[in-house]
Amino acid sequence: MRILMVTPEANPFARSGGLAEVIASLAAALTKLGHQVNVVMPLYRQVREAGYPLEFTGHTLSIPLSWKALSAEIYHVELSPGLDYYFVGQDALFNREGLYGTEYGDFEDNAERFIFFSRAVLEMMLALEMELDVCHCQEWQTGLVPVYLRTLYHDRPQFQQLAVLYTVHNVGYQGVFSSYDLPLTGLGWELFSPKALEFYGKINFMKGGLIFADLLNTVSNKYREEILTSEHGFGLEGVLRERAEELYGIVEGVDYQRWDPARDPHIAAPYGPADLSGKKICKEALIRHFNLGLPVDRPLIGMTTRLYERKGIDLVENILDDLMRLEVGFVLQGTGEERHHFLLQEISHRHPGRIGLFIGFSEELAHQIIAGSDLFLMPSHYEPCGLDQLYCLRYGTIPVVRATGGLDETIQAYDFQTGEGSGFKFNGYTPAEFLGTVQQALKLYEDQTAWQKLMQHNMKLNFSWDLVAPKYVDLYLKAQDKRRQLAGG
Amino acid sequence: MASERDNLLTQMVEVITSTISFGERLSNLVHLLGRYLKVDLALYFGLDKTKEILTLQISSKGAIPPHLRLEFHRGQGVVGEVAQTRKPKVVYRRQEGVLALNAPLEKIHPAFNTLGAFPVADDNFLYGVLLLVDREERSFSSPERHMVHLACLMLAGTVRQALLQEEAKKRIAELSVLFEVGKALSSTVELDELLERVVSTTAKVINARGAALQIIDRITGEIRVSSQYGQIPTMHAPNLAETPQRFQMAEVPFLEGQTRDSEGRVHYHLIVPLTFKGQLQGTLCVFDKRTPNGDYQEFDPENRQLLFTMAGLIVNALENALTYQQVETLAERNERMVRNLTALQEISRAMLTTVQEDRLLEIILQGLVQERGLGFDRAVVLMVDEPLQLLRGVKGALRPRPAEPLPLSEALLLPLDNELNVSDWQIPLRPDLGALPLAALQMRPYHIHQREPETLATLDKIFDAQEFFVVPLVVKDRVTGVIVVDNQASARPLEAEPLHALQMLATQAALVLENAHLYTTIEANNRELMLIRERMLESDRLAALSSLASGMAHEIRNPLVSIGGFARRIAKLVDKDSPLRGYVEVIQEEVSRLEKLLREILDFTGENLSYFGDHNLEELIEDTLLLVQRDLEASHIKVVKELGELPRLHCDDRQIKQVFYNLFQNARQAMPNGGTLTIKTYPVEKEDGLYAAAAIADTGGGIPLEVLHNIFNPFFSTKDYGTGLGLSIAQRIVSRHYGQIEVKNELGKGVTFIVTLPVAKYCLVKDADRGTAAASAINVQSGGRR
Repeated sequence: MRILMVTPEANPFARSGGLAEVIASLAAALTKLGHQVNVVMPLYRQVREAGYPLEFTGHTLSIPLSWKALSAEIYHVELSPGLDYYFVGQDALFNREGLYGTEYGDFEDNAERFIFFSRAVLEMMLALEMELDVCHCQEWQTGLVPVYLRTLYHDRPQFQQLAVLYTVHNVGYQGVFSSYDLPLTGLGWELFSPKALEFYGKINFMKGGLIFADLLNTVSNKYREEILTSEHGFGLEGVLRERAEELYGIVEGVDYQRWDPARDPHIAAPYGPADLSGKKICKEALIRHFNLGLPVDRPLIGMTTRLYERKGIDLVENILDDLMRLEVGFVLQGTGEERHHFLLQEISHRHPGRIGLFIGFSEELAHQIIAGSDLFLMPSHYEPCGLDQLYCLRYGTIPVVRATGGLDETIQAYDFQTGEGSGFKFNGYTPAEFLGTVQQALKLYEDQTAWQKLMQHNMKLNFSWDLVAPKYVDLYLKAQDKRRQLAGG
Repeated sequence: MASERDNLLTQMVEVITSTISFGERLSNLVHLLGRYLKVDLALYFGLDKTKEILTLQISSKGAIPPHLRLEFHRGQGVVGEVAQTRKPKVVYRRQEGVLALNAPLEKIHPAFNTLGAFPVADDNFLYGVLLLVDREERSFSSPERHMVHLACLMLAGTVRQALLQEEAKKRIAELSVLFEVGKALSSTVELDELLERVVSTTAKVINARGAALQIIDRITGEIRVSSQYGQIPTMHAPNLAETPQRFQMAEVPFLEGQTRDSEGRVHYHLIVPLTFKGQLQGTLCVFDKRTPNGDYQEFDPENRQLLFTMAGLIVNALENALTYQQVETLAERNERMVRNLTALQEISRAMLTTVQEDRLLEIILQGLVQERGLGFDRAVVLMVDEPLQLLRGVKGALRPRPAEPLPLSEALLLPLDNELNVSDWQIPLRPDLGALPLAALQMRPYHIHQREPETLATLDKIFDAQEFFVVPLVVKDRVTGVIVVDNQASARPLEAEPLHALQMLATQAALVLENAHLYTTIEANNRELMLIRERMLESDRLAALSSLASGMAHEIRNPLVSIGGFARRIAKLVDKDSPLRGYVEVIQEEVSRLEKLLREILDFTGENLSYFGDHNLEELIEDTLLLVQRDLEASHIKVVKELGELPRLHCDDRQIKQVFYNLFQNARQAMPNGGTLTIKTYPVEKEDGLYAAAAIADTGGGIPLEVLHNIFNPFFSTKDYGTGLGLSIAQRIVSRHYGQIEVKNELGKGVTFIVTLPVAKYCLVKDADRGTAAASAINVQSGGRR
């Protein structure tokens, strides 16, 4: 199958969150299955700095944006045979420090940036005469791609049979913009209707994707159910419910090439279920890294997260002082809202030598924290899938998660009686429940035999992308059927 | 402290210069300030468009839950007060009235003690109020106040910038809307399509539930065009035709209002005038602006401005389209004329293919009623009957039933598939009998739009059209007939172009019909001459034959008389028992047979004189039957007679009786074992007049095919004792009387001989005026009898 994955970010070129990893791993797994995969994304500054030689395709496309037109330069990298990355270059829009914003917030021209990108993707498909079976779009940033395919560009013969799968990784980010941005899209005002892009007087890019794609999916079955409710649907539950029959849930996978303590180059010592000694070395290294005064036999709690409330950072801030009374260490790396930076720094100042804080993100440190911690906290308000808890399983780090979305689906609560389960879960989004559950975990930590048994059990679980990719192939085939019906009928 | 301040200033500058959205810049500023001052809450209240209400927009504690709505009117509470005075103010809970006035703030901070309100304003406008809330009772030091002042200036600057950008974006959006409207309008010059686009685009752009447009001719006051889109509320719609007078003569003229429907729901409308340069004006109206949650709301001034600007665009496009429509109408008329002329040409060409009057009439009528011809529903040709002075219907046609359309050139040559019987249309040529005789008498066409009652009375039984058109057929200042057409069946009005074409066609039709008529006459005369010539040739041939035969007969008769006489004498001398007796008797019989033959030959040659007179066919037949009655009875033949009243014949009764005698005898001989002889008489109408026919049918099994072609030949006989002259003589006689003998042979059943003889019309004429009669038929007859 010939697949085009349209994404706002992808490893190893530009990353702001889990999406980049998902795309890279899925693309690689699909390639392994023999499919021909193309990935297209904006040419961010990060891409230029990623160290791959970008090859200019010779195509400079003129993309209309309201009264002006910007040029899109198409670059190309063949990452491996059958896996091609394309980049839409436009320095005024994408040559910036962040992908979607700065530490203070989102860019004011994000609407323009991703309108430009989406339309450029269409023009690129035409200019490069790409022959494709499936177009797989992600998130709000690419929501307009299906809209363009079925409206402005619907009469192009090569697009009429092109099936579109639209994947919602997080329905909390919908790309809602002022209706005054509609002229930038070049779409007619008839699309500014509640049946299309209109969303309470504004325009909503994700809604466009949900309405115009042939098939929809999200990243876990639990999350699929959650977003059909008003609590988690963020106003799109109605649209989603209308298409519930065509909305699937597929849990993401883990790239064990990169996330396996036995061959992880970033960590201090390799280890595996058979020999856990390496993990201790990793822990010591992590304690040293943050200059903590923690004895190595005391539990070390880790987190790599983005500092947003949806990740439950407010819960962490709430219980951190209480946690510090429990003779544990805490390390966290993350970036996000500035006031959380500030708040966390304040708390860490109160507990010198106990809390290791890194405001920022480094891939290396992420590996080291996951390998070196005993416990890993994911108290998310909601979590479509979550990958860190899956990494933790393989690294023998016990996850403490809130029972939501993918966390609920992938982590089974530990049962002290039977010893079954893979982690610790709490339901209510309250500091008390969270703290209580962490204390439960710490209680198990005191029973090192049971703890290590749990570690070993977890390390043998398999969430490989090789098991996930065929499910996506199924969806692609379903989307093609649907498209044939629509185009044929 | 100083470093913290530097830090704050740095961060604030970073924030206000960053490329993030304005909302985020504001929240960051509010948050940074709140944190710097270590207050529980820093809130920003923005002044709304009406400049009356301050709404909580930003909190340092993160996003404001949607259900939390915190508002202060200008002057209300410390927030409202500062908005009015533009002077910072700090109040404490313990102060009198503070709690009462600021009670709504307890929703967000139940335990507040200090409220510090600061105006967010530049040197021109106030944009909102920054409110610092703390649970402690605290004051703000001078450097702190300075920092707040700076932050407020930054907030004001950011808000101003945001408003400016919002305004710019809105303008661009409006421009793009107008551009789109312009594009939609200019993409067509078809009026209908344009009207539809105008209303649908207008409704969509304004986000209205419906839109309507009307254009009124200012002179006639008639609605020239109108169009609607979406749902027009079922209210008492404002009378758009009257509205132009009521427009407020403001810079942007408009009319706005609201009505309440029967269910009590309020509907809004907004109307702007469409002003054309010419004699038209109109209105564009939108109904019920939709809110995101499906309610209706009033139109705002921006909608008015936009609608007004759109109206300007629309007027131009509509003016173009209206002009185009006129041009198109003209072009269409031209096209119709060309089509009619083409049809006329096709009809002319088809008319040249024949000179038969009947075919011509069919072609003309096809041309009039075919869809691709002139396309009338009904067409009738009436011709003038000069002697009787009336118009007589000759042929009519109705529009053909719908079928596969043929090219006109082919359709014209088809027989009429929907003919109208008009043989009973007879209208005396009197001027008081309506348009048909009038058109003939005055030689000019009449277009009757609404028939007057008196003419209706005379014709309405056969011709019921309310509107019709009649055109005279004129040849050399003489009216030969009229053509009348109507569209009654489809109730279409008669249009000018096809009528014009009909008039052109009438001239030509009159001419070709007249030609055909003349041709028919010439042809008839010609045919008659040919017939006469043939008969003369035949007569000559027979005359030669008969003179030979009569000569021979005379020569033979004399010796035969001697042979007969001597034979009779010998017979008397021969004994009855003598063997010679038989021979003598044979001689006698043969002689008498020869004598009979000679008599017949002399009959055939016409040697015997003829006696012409007027006779009744029935009598002739009855007389002849008497002669054969005994023979028929002997053969057990039943006679059936069906003899009708017929005009008398001018004929030689003896000869005609001989004809019937021969035929009866033949019949009898064909039925030796009995059967039925049926005799019928009846009139037959032929091209050249009325004939009397007698059909003599037997049941003798018919004539074998191999002999059929010989039966009229002289001396041909199938009988042992026959001269073979019976039928031959009968044919001679009938032919001499300008009649015919036909044979209808049904093998296995019988033979019918049909004798047709002309009735004595010439005799009638002769009786009336003996002098003229001699010239025509009588001479010919005598010539044939030579």
